[in-house]
Amino acid sequence: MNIDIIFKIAAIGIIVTVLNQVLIHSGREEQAMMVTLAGIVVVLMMVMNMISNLFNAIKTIFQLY
Amino acid sequence: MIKITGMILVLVSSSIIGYLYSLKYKMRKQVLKSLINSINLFKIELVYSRAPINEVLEHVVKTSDYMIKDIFKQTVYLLNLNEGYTAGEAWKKSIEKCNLDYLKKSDKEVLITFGHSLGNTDLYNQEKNFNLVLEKLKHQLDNAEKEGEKNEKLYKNIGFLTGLGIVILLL
Repeated sequence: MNIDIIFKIAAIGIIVTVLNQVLIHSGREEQAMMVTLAGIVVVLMMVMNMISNLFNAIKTIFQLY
Repeated sequence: MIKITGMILVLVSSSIIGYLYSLKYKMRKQVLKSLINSINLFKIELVYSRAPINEVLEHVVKTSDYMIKDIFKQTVYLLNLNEGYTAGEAWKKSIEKCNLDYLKKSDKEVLITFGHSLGNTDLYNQEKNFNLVLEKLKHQLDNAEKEGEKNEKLYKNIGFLTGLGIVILLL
């Protein structure tokens, strides 16, 4: 469970927020929305594997299969 | 070590790309300003020396910015060819020929409209024509400045931040 990924996600969050503000401030709100969504997708992809592992673990622990 | 070089390369290149996008706006402002200066000089020379247009243009060519020199040079060349081009036609041809990538379509249309009444009327109306085109160009310059204010900083920031994002992803 390496902790680097948390830092990565935090950094991406910061960058997406800054980009969001810059774009909103200059009037391009649709593009700001797009950037936010893209950021969410990127983070989701980074984390996808771990989430799948988590669900597997829960299934085996509680024997829900 | 290589990772650090790669990071720096990505950051620098994406910032440069953002900067290049912002240059578009900066250059448009500069070209418009030099155009206003040169056309002003053109008008003053023409009104006070009453020389034919190609002589006045020779003068203007010497004092104009390297970015707009071509238009005037080309106009002088076409007029000196004596192939029957009117001043307006020569002007229009040289605008279409030279690469004025930095100007938007509306700017070029202002210049082409200017060409229509160039050399077609008497001196007093010529002066009015010049004044009209100068006013229009100043209006375009105002638009350009407003746009530039918004966009220059935006593109520079976007360039840098995208590079940062990619670096963080690949780190």
